[in-house]
Amino acid sequence: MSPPAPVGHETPGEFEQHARALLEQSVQRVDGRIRSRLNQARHAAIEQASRRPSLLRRFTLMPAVSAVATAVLVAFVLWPHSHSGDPLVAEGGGRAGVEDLDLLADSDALDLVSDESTDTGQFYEWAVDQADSNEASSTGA
Amino acid sequence: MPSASHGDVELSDSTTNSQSRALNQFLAGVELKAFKIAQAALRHEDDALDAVQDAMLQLARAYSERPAEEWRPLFYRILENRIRDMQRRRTVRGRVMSWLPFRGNDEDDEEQDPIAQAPSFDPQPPRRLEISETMDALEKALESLPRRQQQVFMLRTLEGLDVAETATAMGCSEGSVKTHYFRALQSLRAQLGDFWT
Repeated sequence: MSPPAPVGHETPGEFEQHARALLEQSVQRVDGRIRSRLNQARHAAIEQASRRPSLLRRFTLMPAVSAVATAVLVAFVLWPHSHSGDPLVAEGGGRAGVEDLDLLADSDALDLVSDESTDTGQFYEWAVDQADSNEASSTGA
Repeated sequence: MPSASHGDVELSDSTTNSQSRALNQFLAGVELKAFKIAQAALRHEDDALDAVQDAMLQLARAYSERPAEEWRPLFYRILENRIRDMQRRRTVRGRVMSWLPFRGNDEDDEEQDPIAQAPSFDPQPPRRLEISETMDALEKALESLPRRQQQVFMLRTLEGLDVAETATAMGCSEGSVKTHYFRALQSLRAQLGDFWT
């Protein structure tokens, strides 16, 4: 509730208009030093805004960024498994593989298996004889 | 596809350029008024400049992609926050300084002296008041207003924001804007009415 305006006082509308006119005049009287600094500040702000990647550009780059992030994630997940686990198992497995390779590369063993002249029964008889003779020599008979 | 990507970049560049031009135009239109508003609140030219500069940078950094019609209330909201931060820091600094036994002549002391800041009631006839004197009287009367009243009066009268925009800029309800504005008018009329030409 507004108190009654004293005689001679302007209505609020006129008061505001007058105040606005005066304030705008005071704005126009701002000196050159202030204007210069405001100008510099504005240009700094504009430069900062123009350096900022736009929303569209960010969306354009998003697939590439996603692909790189996925690759890094996959590498991170897989990398420890290639070096983790029981080292003895890994070592033994490696040694077994090497031995398998040696067997496969051993031409004599293959010749033995593939030699048609070799009788398998004769081989077992020879092996049993060898075992018996070894046992007899160890007991001194 | 390379062509589409290239087109996107070109579109993005042209959008950025037009956006920069629009932002430049907006800031150029508000910077002087913003400075006067900050100066009335802070009563210090360099502090007012710093506040306006910070508000410009913050608007460009965080809100330049918002629609241009939102910039004005956002900018004044940021400016108001900066002014409030500076006033708080100044208050804390003043309290700390008041406890120091040997303090020199700080220029802030003179600025915060309520007697020096009081509006002049020199009873000169309105007819003899020059425009500059009337302007000074108005500015001093504005400085004596409570912060919220001063802010709402400057935003509405000098910047021409409507009630809704002023409420956004001040972070309050439209009802509060109307109340503060009414009280500001009452106070200013009480101080200046007898000398108003």
